[in-house]
Amino acid sequence: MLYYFTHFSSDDSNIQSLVENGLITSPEKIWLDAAEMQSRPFIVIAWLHEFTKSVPLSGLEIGSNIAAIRGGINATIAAVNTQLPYPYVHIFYWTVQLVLITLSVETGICIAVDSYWKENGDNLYIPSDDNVSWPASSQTWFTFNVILVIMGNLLFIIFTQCILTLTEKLSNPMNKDSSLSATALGTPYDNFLFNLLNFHLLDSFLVKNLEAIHAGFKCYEDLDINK
Amino acid sequence: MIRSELLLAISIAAYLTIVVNRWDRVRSTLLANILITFEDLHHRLCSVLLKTQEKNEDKIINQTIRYTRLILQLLFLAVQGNYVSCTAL
Repeated sequence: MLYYFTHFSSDDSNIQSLVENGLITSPEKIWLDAAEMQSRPFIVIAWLHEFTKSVPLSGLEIGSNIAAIRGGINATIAAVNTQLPYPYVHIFYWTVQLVLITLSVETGICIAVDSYWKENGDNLYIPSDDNVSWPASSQTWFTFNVILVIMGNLLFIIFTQCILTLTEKLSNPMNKDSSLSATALGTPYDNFLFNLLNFHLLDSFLVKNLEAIHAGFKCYEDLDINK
Repeated sequence: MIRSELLLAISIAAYLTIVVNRWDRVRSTLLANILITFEDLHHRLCSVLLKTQEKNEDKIINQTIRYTRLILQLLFLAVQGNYVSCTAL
């Protein structure tokens, strides 16, 4: 089975939430519903282009902007839906699992051997040329050995499993779960680094920046710089 | 056993690098370019609106930001959920 396949979701509940939020009107929803998910942004781009042509604005030509937006959206969809360069990632995944299983078996064998030497070793675990008989107690030697083996292997297993989970979350950078912040790094808006792919943050950036640009243009005349 | 762990560590490191690189590329290059273009469009729109003393200024700005936000929202919806991760197999 190949790692990569896509299916086009026809979940219209998301579009319905956009109507409720006032982002699209009912006639627009009809047209957006008719299109596939990945084609919908391009329909709105055409609307935006036509809208700027219809209003009486002298000298505003947004053709280059439209081309850049279209190219950016295309590249983003392509990047997220492109297969990772491991054609059989499940083989990689199961190799990790196999090594971890082997590691757990190894842990058990090591503990069994240590247990045998503790009972029957006759202090053979002390090097023959060592003048100091340390540790004096075989129980101490056994406890430290078992803790070392278990902790070492446990840390390796936790580390590799964490990396597998992390890569799964990051494999679609724009997924809702990829912010990681809600569970691991505090509240969603606390962590700037992991939330740059969060739609609501980008959305508020856009709106606030437009307000700031608009206010800047409006208030310039009141600054009395040229007087 | 040490050999297989080393091999595994190298494989995981390579895999993690590729995934994080892609995450960073989507964030720092692709989405950033879209945002820059939107802001450029808004900047030019505000500039032209000031020159022309347009009466429907607020309406035009509201309509433009609505389409801008809608494009971004639809892009996120289009990309979310169409991807099958490796551990789901």
